[in-house]
Amino acid sequence: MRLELRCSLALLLLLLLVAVAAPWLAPLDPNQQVDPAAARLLPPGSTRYLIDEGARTLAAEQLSPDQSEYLRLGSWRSVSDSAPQPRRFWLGTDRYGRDVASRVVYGARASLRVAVATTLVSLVLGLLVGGIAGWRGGLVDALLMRMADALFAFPQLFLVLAAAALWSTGELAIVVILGTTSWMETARITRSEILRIRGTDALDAVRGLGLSPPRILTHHLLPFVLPPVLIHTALRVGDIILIEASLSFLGFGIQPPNPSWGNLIAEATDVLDRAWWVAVFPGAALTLTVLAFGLLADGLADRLDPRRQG
Amino acid sequence: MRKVSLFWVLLFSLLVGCGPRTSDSEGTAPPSERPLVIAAAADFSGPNELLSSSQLDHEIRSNLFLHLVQEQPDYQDSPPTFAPQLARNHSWSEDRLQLTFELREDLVWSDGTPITADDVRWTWEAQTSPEVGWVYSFVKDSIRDVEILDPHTVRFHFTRVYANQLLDANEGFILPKHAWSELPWAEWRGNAQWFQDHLVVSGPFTVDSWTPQQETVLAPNPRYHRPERPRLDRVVVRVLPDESARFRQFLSGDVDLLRSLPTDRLAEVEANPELTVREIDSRQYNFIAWNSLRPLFADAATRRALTQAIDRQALVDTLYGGRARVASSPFPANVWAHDASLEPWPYDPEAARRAFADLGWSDSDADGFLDRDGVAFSFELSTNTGNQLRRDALLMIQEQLARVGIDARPKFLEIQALIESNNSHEFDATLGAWGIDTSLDVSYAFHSSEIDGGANYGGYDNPRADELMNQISEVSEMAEAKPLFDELQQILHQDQPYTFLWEPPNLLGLNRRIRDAHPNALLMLFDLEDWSLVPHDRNGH
Repeated sequence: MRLELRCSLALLLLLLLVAVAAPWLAPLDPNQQVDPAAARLLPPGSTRYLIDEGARTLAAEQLSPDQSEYLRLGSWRSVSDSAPQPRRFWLGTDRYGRDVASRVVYGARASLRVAVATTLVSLVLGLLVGGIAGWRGGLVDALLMRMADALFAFPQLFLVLAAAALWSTGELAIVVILGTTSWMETARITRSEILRIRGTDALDAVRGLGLSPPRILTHHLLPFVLPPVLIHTALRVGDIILIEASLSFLGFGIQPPNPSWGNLIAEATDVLDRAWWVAVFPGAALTLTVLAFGLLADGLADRLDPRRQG
Repeated sequence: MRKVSLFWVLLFSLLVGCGPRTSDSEGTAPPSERPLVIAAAADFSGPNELLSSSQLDHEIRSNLFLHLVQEQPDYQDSPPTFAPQLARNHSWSEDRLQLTFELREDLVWSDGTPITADDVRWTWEAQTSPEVGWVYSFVKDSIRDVEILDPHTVRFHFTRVYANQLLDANEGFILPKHAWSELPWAEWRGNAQWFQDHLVVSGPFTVDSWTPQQETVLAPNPRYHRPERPRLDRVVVRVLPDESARFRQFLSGDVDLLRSLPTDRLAEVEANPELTVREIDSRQYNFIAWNSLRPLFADAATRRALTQAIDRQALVDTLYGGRARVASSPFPANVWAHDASLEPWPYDPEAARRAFADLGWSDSDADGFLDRDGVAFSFELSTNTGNQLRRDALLMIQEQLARVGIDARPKFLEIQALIESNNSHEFDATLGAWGIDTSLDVSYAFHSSEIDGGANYGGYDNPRADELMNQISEVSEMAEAKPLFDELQQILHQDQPYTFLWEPPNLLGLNRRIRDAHPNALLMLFDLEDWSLVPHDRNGH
């Protein structure tokens, strides 16, 4: 296996593990606002002492040597109810005192879930439409391809925004909207591959054996169609994550307080000049993921495309 | 001042700054090379207040025109007093149905024409003209006639006796009949520029130039009745729509006075030796209105429990660095009618949980949120877009309510869409703000007659509260209504049609070069004619 394929798979496995193990990996509840008045926009590595005072959890900056007093918002007070618990915020906190590390880890879940589900929807739709168009040809082909052309003519973000504004927000909606507006390229690739194979002697021979169309499709066409489609799909996953990020950025994606990398970056724009960490860590995770899928596509192309195998 | 009350605080978007220039705090300022610059989020909409109104417009017009008397910012312990302005005194008839003003005889418009009783009567005619369509014409409803007794004496005839007669007679600036009566009333609307082209003023400043979407330049009125005022020789109101740009310019010294400082950036202002933060009292409060027309919020016990589940002190500490007050009633604590015995409901999530349990709510499906009869305790909490402070508040409240098992989903609407959804009661809960005015009339928000067509968004309906508001509107001396105000507040406290969130201060950022400025809750540019600026040093700083 080529190095880039191995790297991408290792990276994707790591991301998948992070997403699956988020409840165990995240230091805190990603939506928990820890004393925002005293613990917002803390830089990475900051430590605060969490103290339960009645119904509130306060974040103290410093404790007296005997731990009987704590410093919060510039004034010293006595510890009354419970023993202070130190808490380190490895990646800092956001404007509501939420732990950025926990939100980045949980954000992986939403971003990857949306990306994978959307990719599957567009893959299935693209294979179906492209397959039918290529196999049936004629009027059906013309109709389906003009429909794809029509959808192509609109910028995808415009289509997605229009659909999101008319319909609803939330994860399922995003998957459906993105999935139904990103199948066209897959359909085109599928159709052109089928058209190419349909004219070959090998397919005529298979037909001559009297095999049923579904069997021809699954056993003799898909193996040829899938490699280019999968390569394209791997490239698209990265795009989907970026589009979801754009949607979240515009307020149509994953809704607050639930984190996705996109809305984490969106929420950071106002504090970018004072708290770089709020945007940089989810941004880095996003970049890494897109890079991993890019490498995967490249690795798949090398492995599956006979022309690139030299 | 009354008109200010009916605006969402979002609309109070004036941000102010001024550029450095030369002046002398003790005497008349020498000419300076750099004018005073006021930065504003929105454009000035022209000098005629009967055509449009915003906080910015009101601030500017208050320096162009005078009232009969000037309301003073001394409303903390008793109803406010009024200082002479165009009128040197006023007197009441025995039955209090007639109010007579004696005008100063030495006052003239900026073109030299005397200001007379004829201007006062004509202004009232314009204010009440259906052709003009002034949105605040309703405040003149109880004025039957304005009679000219002689060129400098004018008498207002009222149809009834009530506490706010002087306030209503004084509402609106006195306008120049000789200059503006040339244009028929029917042609006033949509003709704001005409009034600028035919502008004569009575106040300390006049409009030197008005470039739409760019800037409005004020210059001294040479015929102002205080010849040594104004001290400033030029004031530029510059349109700067972008909030962060305004703040940056303030920090850099290009803007010297900034309204509504972002509270999370106060430290940057305080760290700059050339700048200072001034906390101005305001008469505003923020609230969540619960839509009691919907079954979820119909019960006062539910609304009280919701209030107890919201940590308002944490909101105040986070959003205002502790500079705001937790609110408990529609009459802010700095207003004389406030019931000081009223204690805000404490933050007590345990009590809230118990109350919800008593009301039959439980987490039967273990999803972390309460439900009852198969219906989840879930609702939309809406506010307007483009206001980071409200967004922060909403997301904090969402998290606080989630702690007691309530799913509050933030919903951000463009301001006009929000107003429409509020007016049509098509919302669950909405976060907003009101400014309270001198009339202390809160019936628009809480009287049952205001459910249809008014601003009683949540459909609050309490007959005793209605009765109290009716009685308050009929007392002849406002101070006598204090027990009524107190009882009304106790009822609202128990019923919680609103969760009263906080009373914000107005945080002004000032460049230290500004001297003798006394902004207050009524007007930021209250005494602009007295403002001055310290001279530049040799380096031009």
